[in-house]
Formats: sequence, structure tokens, C-alpha cells
Amino acid sequence: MDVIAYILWGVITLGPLIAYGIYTALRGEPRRADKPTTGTPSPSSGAATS
Amino acid sequence: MSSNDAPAVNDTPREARVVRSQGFFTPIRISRMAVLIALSVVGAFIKIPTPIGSPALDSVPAYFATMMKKWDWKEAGIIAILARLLAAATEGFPLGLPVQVALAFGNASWVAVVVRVVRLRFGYIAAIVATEVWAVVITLASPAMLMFALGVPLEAAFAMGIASLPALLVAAGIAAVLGAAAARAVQNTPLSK
Repeated sequence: MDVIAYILWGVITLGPLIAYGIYTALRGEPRRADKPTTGTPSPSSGAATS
Repeated sequence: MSSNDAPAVNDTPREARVVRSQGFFTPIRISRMAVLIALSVVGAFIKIPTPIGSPALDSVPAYFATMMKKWDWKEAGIIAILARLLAAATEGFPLGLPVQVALAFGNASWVAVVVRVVRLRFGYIAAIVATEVWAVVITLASPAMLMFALGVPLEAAFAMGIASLPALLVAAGIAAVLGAAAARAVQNTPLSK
């Protein structure tokens, strides 16, 4: 039972750091895309205006 | 010495020299990490008493750094590790230095990885909720730490961990809310770049 507690401690302490470190090194940090801005487009944005 | 022997540093455009020196430890990143680590020491003196020590508000700057979307997660991790060690140093490293080092890395896993992933995916409120949930997860792992440090049996260590949970929840909740509020306030300023 004590061994399980020590293993659990190690996994919870270092597991996320190691796993996320490997993941971000390979694929980059997952970021949610910024929300599109609302409002009228500026003339320089390429939107067709008439 | 002819002019041809002189180093060509001055011939290089200034912008090119700056780009060559870019890496993880850029001057602006080191500067803001230094400020946030210093603020962590200030927060370490605001304590919430528990049976196994005193959780303090030393992790508020780390929460702030992890809530900043455009900052690097390793930045928040380094701040979290140093904040925990400096906070432990102010109280004489309770439970011993090895336990405090393990706590520091656990703090970094919690703040810089778990909370950050939730903040990037779901936003501030979810990150605060994740902070509280992760405090319970840490409590399940803390008996091993207490067995290692104090030599008490598993049942006693688990009871001490449960006893410290309310203060841990309060401290973590306050730190996460303060960090999220500060990050929200400066999210659209030049500081967030």
C-alpha cells in the first residue's frame, strides 16, 4: 500500500510536467484560436465595398 | 591594425543582432519572471494556517503567468518552482528540503500544465474550477509525502492530508482568482505580448 502511495505521488508530481513537455516539444502548445473581431471591416482588409 | 581585421559586429544591422540573440530567455522574459518571482516572495508572507504547514499566496504570480495566453508555459513553471522554494525558505523548509523540491515540481505541474491547458481550452472560470479540483487530487497524493517526511503510517498521513484540504482549497482558490483577474486586466495590453 505504501508503494502505491509513493508511485501515485511521483506520477502526480512529475507526470504532467514530463508529458506536457514532450507534447509541446513535438507539436507545440495547443491554443484556442482568437475570436474573430466583429464590426465593419477596414478598407485595407480587402473586403469588397461598393 | 587595418580596418579589415576589425570584427564585423558594427557592420551588422542592429535588428539582425537582436534576432540572433532570441531564445527562450529573452531579456523581457527574464525581466518579467524576476518581477513575478519577487512578488511571489511577498505573497509568501500572506499565510493560511493548516496542520501540516501554511499554504500562502506565493503562487499568485505563477497563476498570473499561466493565465497569460501568449506567454510560455515553461515561464509559469519556473516561477511556480522558485516561488514554492522561496516561500519554503522563508519558513525554514518545513518537512525538509527534498519534500519542498518535490512540492515545487508538483506546484509547477499543477499551475503551469493542468491549469494552463484548461485556461487555453476553456477560459478563466474553468481554470479556476480546475484549480480546486486539482487541489483534491494533490490531497490524494500527499500521504506519501507525509510518510516520507514524518515517518507516520499511511492512515495518519491521509488524515493529515484531509485536514489540510480546506485551507489548501481556500489558498488555491484565492490565488487562482487573483491571478485570473490580473491576467484578464492586462490581456489586451502590450504587457501580454
